[in-house]
Amino acid sequence: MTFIRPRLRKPMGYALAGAALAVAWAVRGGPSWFLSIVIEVGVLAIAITTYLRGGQDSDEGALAGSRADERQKLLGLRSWALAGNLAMIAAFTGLTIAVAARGRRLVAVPGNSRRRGLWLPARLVDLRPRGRGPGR
Amino acid sequence: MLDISSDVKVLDITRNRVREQRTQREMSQAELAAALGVSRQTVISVESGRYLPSLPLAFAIARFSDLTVDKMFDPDEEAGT
Repeated sequence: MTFIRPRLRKPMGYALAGAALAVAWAVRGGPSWFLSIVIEVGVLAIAITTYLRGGQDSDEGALAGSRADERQKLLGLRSWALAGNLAMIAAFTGLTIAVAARGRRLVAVPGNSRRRGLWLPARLVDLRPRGRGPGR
Repeated sequence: MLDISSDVKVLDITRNRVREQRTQREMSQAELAAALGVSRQTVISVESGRYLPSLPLAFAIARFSDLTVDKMFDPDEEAGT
């Protein structure tokens, strides 16, 4: 990607991703359509902050500005690995609490996953139709 | 099985001659970083032994000082021969 200045790469990525999410929210419609504006404003703020951080003479600045050297890339990888581990722990903790709090009955996810032992709490995977539909 | 552990000298590579060579040449950390194509923070980390550079970077550092890699990163060895 030589056609985009390194410092602009991450902010532009964030801005484009946020714009896509905001458009998707607006297309979804409904009474909360205005949240798409909130999303867009928030993402623009993040993009501007990332651009400003990209100019700093620090490891974080180098990563934000896409000009990291080998040590800084290693630091970035380690921080992603730590974030992944924390996310896994949080997901497992959340699932455990959800099972304890709600799901006395467990339902197997149909198909191959059943054999693999992937179980989900029945209330988290509510397969019953919600509300009163048009009927059949 | 061949046991070479007794013949291999384990280097204390947290100590090196990077700072010594840089100050001899009256260069700042920023100037050395620019010459090596890395950040100033990385030069600081290498000098203080907190970061062990990759082999290409180690060669670049050694080449800058006209030393070999083992002399640059083995402070117990005689420099310059």
